Amino acid sequence: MTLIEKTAALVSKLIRLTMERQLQWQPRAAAKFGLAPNDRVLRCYETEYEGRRLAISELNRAAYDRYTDSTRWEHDFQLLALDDHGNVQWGFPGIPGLSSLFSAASGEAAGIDAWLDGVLGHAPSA
Amino acid sequence: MTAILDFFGGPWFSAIGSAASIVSLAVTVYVARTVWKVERRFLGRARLPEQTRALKRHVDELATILNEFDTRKTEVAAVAAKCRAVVESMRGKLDRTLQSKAERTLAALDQAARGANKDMAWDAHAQILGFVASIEEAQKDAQWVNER
Repeated sequence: MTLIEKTAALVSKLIRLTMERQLQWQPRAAAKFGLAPNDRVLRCYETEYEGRRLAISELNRAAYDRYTDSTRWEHDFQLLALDDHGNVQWGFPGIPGLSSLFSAASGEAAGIDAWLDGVLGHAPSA
Repeated sequence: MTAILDFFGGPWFSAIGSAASIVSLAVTVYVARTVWKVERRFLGRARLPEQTRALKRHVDELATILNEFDTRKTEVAAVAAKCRAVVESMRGKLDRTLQSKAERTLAALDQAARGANKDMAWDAHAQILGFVASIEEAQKDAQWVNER
């Protein structure tokens, strides 16, 4: 199993645990790793899983288009491993599924699903 | 004049001609095989990015409904079938390493379809994510080689 496949398996597991409310995410200050000066972190959430602090960032990356000689913004996500002080130690390689993970993490951090269950009187779906 | 005729009519010249024909045949087969490979590679590559994007959409859709697996089994099966169709179509256009990953992904999807339980469906989800990631890496490598 290559690193990228292991990371993909991790992302799948994090999505599942977040959706099942077994993993809690909190908003945090922008965590940056390997970004160009013009790249912007829009939102960032952090969690702890198996003794490791992890963060997911939503980014706008400035991408130069050589055909039109212009810069455009590309929406992207980054999964990061943090040390005990919250500093970025490692940026996982670009992998699919991060948009689903970010969506699940931001929803969990906002408590939307739990709030809806409370308002509508439903039992949790997990 | 006789010397020239003897030169071209000699048995050794005929032997050279035969040998050259055999070499030409080998070169023709090699060129035809290379053209076939190049054609196959480019035809396949032309659709791969589009199919990768489609697979990413399907796997994102799968993630959103897997949490409600018990009440949305039919939808899960339908999205898994869409993923299977795309992976199956991509398989023939890939090199051997990626083909084996495609086969593992298809096996995980089949197992999930047979078992019809949430854990197997999540395993298939992880397998598809890994497959898409490997394809994207291979596409980045190919792009880098082309731009060199």
